[in-house]
Amino acid sequence: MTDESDHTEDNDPALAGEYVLRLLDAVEEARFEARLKDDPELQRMVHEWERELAVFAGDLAEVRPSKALKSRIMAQIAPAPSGPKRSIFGLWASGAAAVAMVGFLAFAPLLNAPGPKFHVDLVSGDLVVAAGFIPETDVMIVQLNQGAPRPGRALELWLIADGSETPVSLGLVPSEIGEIRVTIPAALLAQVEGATMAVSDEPPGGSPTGQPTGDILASAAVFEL
Amino acid sequence: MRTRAEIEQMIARIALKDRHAFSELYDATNGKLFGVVLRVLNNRAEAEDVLQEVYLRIWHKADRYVVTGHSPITWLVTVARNLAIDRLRAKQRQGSPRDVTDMPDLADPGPCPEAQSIAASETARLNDCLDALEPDRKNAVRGAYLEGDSYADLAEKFRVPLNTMRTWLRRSLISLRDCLSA
Repeated sequence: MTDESDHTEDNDPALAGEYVLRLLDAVEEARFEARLKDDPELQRMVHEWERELAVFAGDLAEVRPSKALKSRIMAQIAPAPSGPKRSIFGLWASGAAAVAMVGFLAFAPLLNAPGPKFHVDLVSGDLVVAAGFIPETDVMIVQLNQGAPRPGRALELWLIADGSETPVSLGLVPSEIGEIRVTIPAALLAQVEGATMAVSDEPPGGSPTGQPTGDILASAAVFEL
Repeated sequence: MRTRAEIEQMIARIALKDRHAFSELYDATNGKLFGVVLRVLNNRAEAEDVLQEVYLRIWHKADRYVVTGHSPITWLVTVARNLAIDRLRAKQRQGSPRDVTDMPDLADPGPCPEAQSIAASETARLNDCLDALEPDRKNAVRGAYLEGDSYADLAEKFRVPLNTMRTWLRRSLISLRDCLSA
């Protein structure tokens, strides 16, 4: 092999390898990326190197970062902030967080009132339900952000308090995209922290028994904002 | 380590902005990704900064995962390594050259402890093909991947002129590609 052959442009596999290894200088890298955008063959080569070279990472020992890092990261992705956390809205506006955006717009009119302190996202397939809880005013906000109840059925929201195994109904989820705000008993709101919530498929009007009777469609832990 | 299917599930839920899934993914993968970032940056505080960027990128770009066709751990490692190298190169541009003598030695890879997360057959194939290279050349490719070495770093480490290093490495990549595609 001659030196000339090393430097011809048709040596794309090696070039793609250098790109993945991050060996190209800024100019070469920019030129390569400009081609990469519209060249599926080049994209394939890049993905192939990424996959193969990632094997090196298998040799690396796991190292734990400090425990505080997780809280820092979770705080950055927390939704519906109140007070000083409001700056996070800028982050959302620039991101592609369409679902979160819906939540933000819906909560926005309340910016000067106390905001939700607890939040839960219930997501499964096409269904996206969110609930927020405002302890100061005993208000619960329930949103249907995506999806719909099954035909002729209703969606019911359940609270399973920390340490309990018995779901308590929090009422129905809106049947169309939108939100409802209701006041719930303070005793119930006191159980939200650390709880798990779930959405079930129920007959119109909700479960006749006080316990879920249909499929549990989604469940998730409540999050403190 | 969770199974590939479990991690894939988490990424799918993160694409729908499920913070609970994000929290689970963090717990399942932070040790591996921190290992990757720390190896490149060799500084815990900087590496934690970058790891935060990595997870925010995952949160915002989870919907891009499917497009790459990668296994989930390959995608995560690729995101982590690229952001770590971005930080390394930015530092180098600001004129704080790396002292390569501080870097941990490039140990020969032992048996892969993560065989379940990166396909074992893939690992064996790459290692076979790397072993077909001369040891220095194999270590140059690993140094570029794991430590983010530039051509200048590699030339210094292996005490060869920069152009020679580049020719070496390109040829190594061509041999590797031929071997891996065989």
